[in-house]
Amino acid sequence: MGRKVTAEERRKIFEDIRQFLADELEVNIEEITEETDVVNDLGGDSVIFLEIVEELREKYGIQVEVRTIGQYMLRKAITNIGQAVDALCEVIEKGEELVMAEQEGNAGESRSS
Amino acid sequence: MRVNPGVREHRRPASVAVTGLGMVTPLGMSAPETWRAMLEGRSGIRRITKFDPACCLTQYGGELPAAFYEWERTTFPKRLYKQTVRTSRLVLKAAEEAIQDSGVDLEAVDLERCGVVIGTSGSSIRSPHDAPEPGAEKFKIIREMINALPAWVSLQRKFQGPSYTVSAACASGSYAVAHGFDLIRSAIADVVVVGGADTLLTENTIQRGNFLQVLSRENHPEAMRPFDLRRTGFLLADGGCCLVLESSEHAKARGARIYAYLAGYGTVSEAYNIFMPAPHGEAMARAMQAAVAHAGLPKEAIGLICANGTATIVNDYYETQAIKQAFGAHAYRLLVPAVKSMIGHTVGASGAIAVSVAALALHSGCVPPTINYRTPDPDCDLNYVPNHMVTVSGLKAALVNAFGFGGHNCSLVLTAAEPNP
Repeated sequence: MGRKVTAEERRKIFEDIRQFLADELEVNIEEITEETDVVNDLGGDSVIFLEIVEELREKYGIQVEVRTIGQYMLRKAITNIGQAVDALCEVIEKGEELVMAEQEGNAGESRSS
Repeated sequence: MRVNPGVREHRRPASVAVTGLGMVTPLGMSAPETWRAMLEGRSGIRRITKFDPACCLTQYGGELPAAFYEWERTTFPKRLYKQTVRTSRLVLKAAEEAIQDSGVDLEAVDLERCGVVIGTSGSSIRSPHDAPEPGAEKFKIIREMINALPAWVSLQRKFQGPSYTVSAACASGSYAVAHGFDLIRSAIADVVVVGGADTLLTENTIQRGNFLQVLSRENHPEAMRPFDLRRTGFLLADGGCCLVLESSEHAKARGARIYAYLAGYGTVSEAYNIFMPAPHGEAMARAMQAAVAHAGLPKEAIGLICANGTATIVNDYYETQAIKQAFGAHAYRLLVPAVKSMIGHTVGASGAIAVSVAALALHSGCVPPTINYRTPDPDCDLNYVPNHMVTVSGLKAALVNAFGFGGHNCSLVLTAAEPNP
């Protein structure tokens, strides 16, 4: 079980992601907002979401397997940065329980990789 | 779900046209630049500068033009640069040039019927000079997988037909062309980018090549002398080459310039030794005979053979014997240049380069030479087009040889699009 993310912490996570994307994709940081689409607006790729988790894992004490995040991403489409920030906050708050509640609600459904 | 989209609606095409060419070689950043240098008989061989070759017995090779390193650093976004190896970047450059050169309008074609087949010996997983920058290590798998070479082309141009790598050592590029030919002939694709690339000019490969006694240790720019009595082996080179293949109907319908047609190929395994060719070129002859038969041509139709010509004692002698075995008395009427004398051995790219050379020769009537040819070998007594290009009229068909470690032999036959002047 994780912990509650404050509004200030959410803002910091957004800023960290913004900085990471600006460096990695060589774009002006001012152009990156919560509505920015990482793939279509910035030319990123889907791997970059998992890299963001790895980048921020230690700083925010994220204790969750990448597999769990993968399962989460299969259920919730993440395209813009605001959604990525929300997802990351949810990851921090729920930890490994992130997808359990939904799995219970979707008994019988399974999907690999 | 659609399986091989369109196959049932498409008639199997009669022939396969070569409509676009792209190259990055020690002789130039493009196909026209490389071709011009070949016709001038220039050498792309020099003392290696990209690392200190003092640790190697062989210290010369074919390095890419400095302009290529500049191009990849200034053209590739940082993230794509980290996710690719130089071999992939060579393929992307050559593929882009070939597509542009073909004039094919990718907005107007069915992208599900566009494919990519690339040949490589696998240098992407052993390219120490392609220094990954910080942060590239995490991409190691997608950087170095040998199928990344065609995958990047498919990704960038949204080609959704077959896309894969073939590996057959020095014959990889030729095998890729043969596969592209099959994809079009079997109506699976309308447009296929084929080619090859390798970046094997490294200390490691040179040292291992020295152990196998296949590299010249003479250490001067004229060290690679195919078919010469005093030949001492080959020099490695980095390079990439792509061609655009189309069904003749597809090419003609859009009024494309056709360099030549691919008419057939022969692929055989020597099943003899992991790196020595079978005695007297018996399996080389089988590949050539199979290619000519596949093309449905009399052997006398062939006027040009772009030789494998690696300048090893054994290859050049056996290849000469094989040509005589396959062509009989006609062998002495053939032109048999070895362009590796000018660019070195680009391994996975070399077969695709040789096919391009054959296409350009059929298109223009110009045949590039074998350079550094000084002392005739009584056992190698064909016309290797020594030192200077020649022009020929009425060249109807050409054959291209590539024989790889592992006993992978591939010969391809091309025919002229129009009677050349």
